[in-house]
Amino acid sequence: MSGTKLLSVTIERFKSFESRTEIPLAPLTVILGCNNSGKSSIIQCLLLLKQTLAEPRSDIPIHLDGVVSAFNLRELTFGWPANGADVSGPTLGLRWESTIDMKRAADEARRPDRANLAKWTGISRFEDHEFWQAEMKPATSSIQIDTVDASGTTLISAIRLQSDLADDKTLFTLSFKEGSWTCLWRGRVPLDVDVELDHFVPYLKADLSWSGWGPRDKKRTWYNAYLILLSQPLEALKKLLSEFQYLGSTRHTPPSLYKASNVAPQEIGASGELAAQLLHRRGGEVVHYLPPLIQGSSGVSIPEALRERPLVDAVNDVLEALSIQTPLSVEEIREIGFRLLFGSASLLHVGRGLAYLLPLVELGLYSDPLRFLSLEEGDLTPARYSERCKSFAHIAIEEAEAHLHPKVQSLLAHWLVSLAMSNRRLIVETHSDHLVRRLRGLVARSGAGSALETWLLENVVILEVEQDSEGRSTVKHSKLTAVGGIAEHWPAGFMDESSEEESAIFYGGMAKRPTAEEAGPNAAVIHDEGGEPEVER
Amino acid sequence: MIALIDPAFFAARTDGPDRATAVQHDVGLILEFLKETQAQLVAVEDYWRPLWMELIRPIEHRYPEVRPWLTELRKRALQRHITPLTDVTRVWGFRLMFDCAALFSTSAWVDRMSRSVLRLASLNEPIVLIARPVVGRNIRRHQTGNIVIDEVTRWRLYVQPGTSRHVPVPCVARPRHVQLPWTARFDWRLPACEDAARYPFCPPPEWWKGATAAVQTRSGKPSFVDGLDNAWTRPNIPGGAGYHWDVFISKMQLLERIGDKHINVVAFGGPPDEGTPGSIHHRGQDQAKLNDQGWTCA
Repeated sequence: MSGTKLLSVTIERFKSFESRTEIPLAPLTVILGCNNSGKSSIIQCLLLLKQTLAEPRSDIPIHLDGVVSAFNLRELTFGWPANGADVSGPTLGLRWESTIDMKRAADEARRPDRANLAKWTGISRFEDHEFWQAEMKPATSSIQIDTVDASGTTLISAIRLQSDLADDKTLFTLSFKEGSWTCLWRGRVPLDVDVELDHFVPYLKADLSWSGWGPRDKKRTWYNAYLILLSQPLEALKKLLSEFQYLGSTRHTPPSLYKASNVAPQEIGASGELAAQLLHRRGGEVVHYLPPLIQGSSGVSIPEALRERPLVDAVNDVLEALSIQTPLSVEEIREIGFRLLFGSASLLHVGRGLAYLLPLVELGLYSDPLRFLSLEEGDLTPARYSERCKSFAHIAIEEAEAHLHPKVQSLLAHWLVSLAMSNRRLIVETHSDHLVRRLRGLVARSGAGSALETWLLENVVILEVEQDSEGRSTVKHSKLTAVGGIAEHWPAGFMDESSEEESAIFYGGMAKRPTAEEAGPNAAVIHDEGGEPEVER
Repeated sequence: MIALIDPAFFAARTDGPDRATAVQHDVGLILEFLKETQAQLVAVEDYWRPLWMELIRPIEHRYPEVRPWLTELRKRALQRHITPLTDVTRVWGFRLMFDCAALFSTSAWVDRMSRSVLRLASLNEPIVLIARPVVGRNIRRHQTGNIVIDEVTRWRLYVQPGTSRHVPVPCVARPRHVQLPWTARFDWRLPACEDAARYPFCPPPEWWKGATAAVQTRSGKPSFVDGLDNAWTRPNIPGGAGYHWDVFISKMQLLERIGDKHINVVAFGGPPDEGTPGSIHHRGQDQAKLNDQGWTCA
């Protein structure tokens, strides 16, 4: 189940997204758009599913009380439809890559007859010897969840499950009608299994001892297809969403003095409210991170190795790279609590930018999938680390640039790229011209065909969210180009203001400079009408 | 290496949405060239100011969507004042390139560009002009059926400041034109020895001289002629498509060695599944006797 990566989010009738929209996610996904364009809806879809999984009652299909909060499902539905008996709610979909432990899959399916499995499921690779030989099989799976508001009650009306190992066609359609679930194989043939839901994650269950299915029964092969292709990926998805980290655009006001927590928090908190406690409890434990990209006179380069440092030291190291020179420390106040100090000032009394930046840096460090493990020095090259690490952290950050100086905003691009290069998959929502400009600048400055250029071209996706006059949002996605452009679609309105000013300054300055003629005498030029002089080479 | 931009990139074209796309495309190519060759644009007063004020500014005003590309371009230029030369100087090729009524509304570009090059020549660094290929100016197009051969008619400018040596200024458009200078006169898609080609295009000795013919009509087809007297022509495919060259061998000795007078050779720059540049792309039906021996340019 290692190596789970979220590849895309699909939303339909969700907030300002009316039509079905699949949003691709890359190691570094940057979301741009005007205010109220619908940018946050993409992250909110993930937060909604995460907060649902965190709700102890597993019979609640979608939990509307958390970071994403709504009175009812209609509030999250496009057009905010009027109350009614059954109002179609949003459809939420995810596509993710994970690995399947083939031995475990075969055991769970009770080592099925492969030829029979291939025959009845129509999935020919089941017959392929090599398919079963792989110890861990990568698979891309997807889930689509249709919701409904039934007189104020949130329900799931249907779930569709797909796997690329079955050619991305819908394998199972689960429908909720008249108080019970039915399961259709390939959308057509009923399959008599029990459907149990852990919130929105379905489990198909069949008691093979009394189901009446013989070992070669076609229905048993369909059920086995679920056990082999989808059971483990769905577990991986739950883990991914549960561990999904989010840092919003506001920060709580830090106290002068913190009361020490008796347990270490697992997360940083949506407003960074747990950042101090995390530093206090875990500050001495090691994390691994690739320092921010290095910009020198000859261009920009990837640091040669990751660093392994205690969390507090790592925070200071990264802050310094982001041009913050004042050191952070945790000061114990015996039997009372602790203080976070920048230099000799508490967090409350330093510039607001630091209070915003600290959780962001800490989150990037703490989300190291190998945190608190001590690695050999040889495991700290980016390649070895990725090989060793195998899993990915998923992080969403809203307005990463809030309250930061333009220079720090630009340097954030270096840090975000370094994070994304070391097994953190980031979704960054931003209005920062500086940050996006630096991302473009990094590609432009990187050597032609260099590892950094290749990485940036392949792994950065720019999403632009636009909303039309009727309140419908759409997303356009682009990649960076080798010369620092944005390939498919230049974000409308984004950066226009500053580039217009730049142009005005450029042309204005040029108009005020003397022309070449005004600047002084010049040589007499004789144009030789012959094609070329007598030259050697 | 110092680069100048041909003002023709921003000169007369029909207005419309295609113009913005064309400018974006061209500036993209210029930026790519600068990045790959590490060439440095220098904002020499003589041409930089009129380039922006007269040609680019109206485009930027009319098509604001191209502004990001233009911003990137001007950021690449080094502001550097170079004292103008006062010696009498001779230049070659500037009239053909810049006194072109179809492109420019003024003939002032001839002097602007020649003076710019002259200033830069005092820096004693290699200079190139990133040139836009324009049929009727620096390109002569030969077409027979679907075969299209673009003959470059101006591949170098020359300046001679005072009594010092001549300074050649290659007119280039792609990084390959810098890596293999002869491709600036011939076609960048021709496979070269440097590509480890088994059947390379061998540039004629003194390929840079105007007296050396680059294009000839052989068997009714316009072709580039190499130093082994082989004729290289594009395949007769609509739209100039195809990832190979039709190569016709005329020297008896070479013909005997290769086994056939006509071979199909993989072009440089095609997708990898088309084959290694300079290898046999495909065999004709009657090419059983073809010996896959190749040749060298030495």
